[in-house]
Amino acid sequence: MIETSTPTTNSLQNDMVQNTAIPEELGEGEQSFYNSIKKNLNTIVRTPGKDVIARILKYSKSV
Amino acid sequence: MSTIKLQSKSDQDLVHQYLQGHEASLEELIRRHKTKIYTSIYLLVKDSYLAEDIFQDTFIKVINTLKAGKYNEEGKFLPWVIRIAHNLVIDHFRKEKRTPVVTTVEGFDIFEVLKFYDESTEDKMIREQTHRDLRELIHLLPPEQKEVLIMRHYGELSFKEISEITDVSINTALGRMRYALNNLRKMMLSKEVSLKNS
Repeated sequence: MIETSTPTTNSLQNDMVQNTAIPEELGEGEQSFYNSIKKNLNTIVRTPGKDVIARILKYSKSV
Repeated sequence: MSTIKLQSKSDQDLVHQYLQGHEASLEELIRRHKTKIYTSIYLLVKDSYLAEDIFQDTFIKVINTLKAGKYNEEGKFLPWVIRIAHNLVIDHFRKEKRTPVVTTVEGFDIFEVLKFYDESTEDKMIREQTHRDLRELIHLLPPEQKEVLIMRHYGELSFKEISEITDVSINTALGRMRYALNNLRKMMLSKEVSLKNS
């Protein structure tokens, strides 16, 4: 019987592990800068006019 | 059902109630998420009238999908709506065959409504200038970086969700966010934008 084995240096396998192990995180410096501008990003928000929302609600009732 | 009771409901509960014919639940969902969705659209198209049209079309699609019973309950409501809005923005630019342009049309700005009574005229000018500067810097980012920053911050999407919407790997989405932040930081330094004043 022929014995088979998969080497741990299998590049395809290692690539797959690497891809699935990518953390959903930024680096420390980037996260720190992002945290510092979050408040400012929140201060440039805009809202749609009341007319648009009224039209959406009217449409919803009509269908 | 009272407004207070609706406010305590989860998005999922509101969707269920809406599907049972409770129109006020849709109103609450819109009230809850309108700023994030509209800002996400506005920062991509840079035109308040166009952003309102796309916002309206987004919710028409949301309503049609919900009423057709095609909403996937496993997904979160906001990322789903942001995905629809993003696709409509892409459709718009495909139809127009142009890149976004800056317009002079000024839309309804929540911070023009919120009054800063204790603010001096000089402070107000600095704050308004800082807001303009930050908006302009975001507009100067390459589209793919701006897109990720907007979806991550205003849409509260994970990099996995962003990667699915933009059809790139998680690593690429994360990389674009990094570039966006680094570019913003560089531009702020070169333009001497102080965010402490806002």
